Amino acid sequence: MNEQQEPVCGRSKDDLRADIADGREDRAHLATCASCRAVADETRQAWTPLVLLARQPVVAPAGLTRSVLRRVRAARPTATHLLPGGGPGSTRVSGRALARVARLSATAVPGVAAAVAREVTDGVPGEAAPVVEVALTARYGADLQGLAALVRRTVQADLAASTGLHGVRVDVVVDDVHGG
Amino acid sequence: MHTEDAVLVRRAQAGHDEAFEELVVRYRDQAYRVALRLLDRPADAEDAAQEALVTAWRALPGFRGDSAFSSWLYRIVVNRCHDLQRRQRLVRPVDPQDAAASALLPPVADTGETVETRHRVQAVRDALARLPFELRAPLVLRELEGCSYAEVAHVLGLPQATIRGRLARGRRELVGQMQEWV
Repeated sequence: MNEQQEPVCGRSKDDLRADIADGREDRAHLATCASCRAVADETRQAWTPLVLLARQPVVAPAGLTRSVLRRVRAARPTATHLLPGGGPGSTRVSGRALARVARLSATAVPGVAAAVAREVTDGVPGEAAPVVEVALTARYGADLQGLAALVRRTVQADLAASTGLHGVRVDVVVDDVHGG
Repeated sequence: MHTEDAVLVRRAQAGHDEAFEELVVRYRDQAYRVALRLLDRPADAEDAAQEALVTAWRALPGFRGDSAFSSWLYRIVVNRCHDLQRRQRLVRPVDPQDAAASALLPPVADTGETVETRHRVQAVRDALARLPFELRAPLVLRELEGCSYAEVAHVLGLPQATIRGRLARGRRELVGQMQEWV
């Protein structure tokens, strides 16, 4: 690589290149200093395509999300729960399915801005009754205690209606408030 | 409505995988893009990004939130890419036909750019790929990802003075290589 001397004015090439890269070159000085101008010109020859490269949109391939989520879900133990009634043959529902019902149910409650739900499996042994935890973002102004109770009743009712499981324990966590 | 990253992280840490899934949707492009800019091979970038996101999920219990989730994720992806490159001892192909990432771009006629511009952009990508990783990473984070000097230092776990030094060397190298290409 051609290592020319530093510009005659005493400014370092490294600093000049940093200025160009950061978009804060001293135009007044460049107008009067030919050797700095030469450094600036050669820097821009690399920086112009670099800026274009930075602007090229890049999106993740669809397979990336799928493979990440598949691995995350596989690492999470899933319980299934026996549903009452019916037969011959048993019907089971997964904890994940219960959590989905709970999330959709909770999200529709007035005063809830957003909700997520999970089946609580830590410390809950195999065939025990399912426990669901709902974490929600409340709308600002809602009475949080009343809202939590309403979400609990609503989720329980929706779970009972869709699965026949009555009185599922629903823990509610209000961990965020959304203003306006 | 947009739930803040910090809330999603907290929920994910409590075991809400749906919250982590939302973080994946938010940051998958960032993870893949920085990996692609570091490795310049789409398949390797996808592997590195996937490993990084799964690593992030496993490491969530230890994430104390003293930095933004996006910075923390940058660090994991950069480390993954460095590991991948070291393991593979990637030899940069000189043949531009081999750079599969460029095959993903639309034909020049459709974009309005000149053939020369596209060649210059390819040349700067090649020049970046020829840099040693320790010079490439700060350049990618600063010039392509737009991170501040402070964030680059935080992501790479180095003092800002060291970062500025590596950026100076990297810029010098890059400019030199582009001069030779001309």
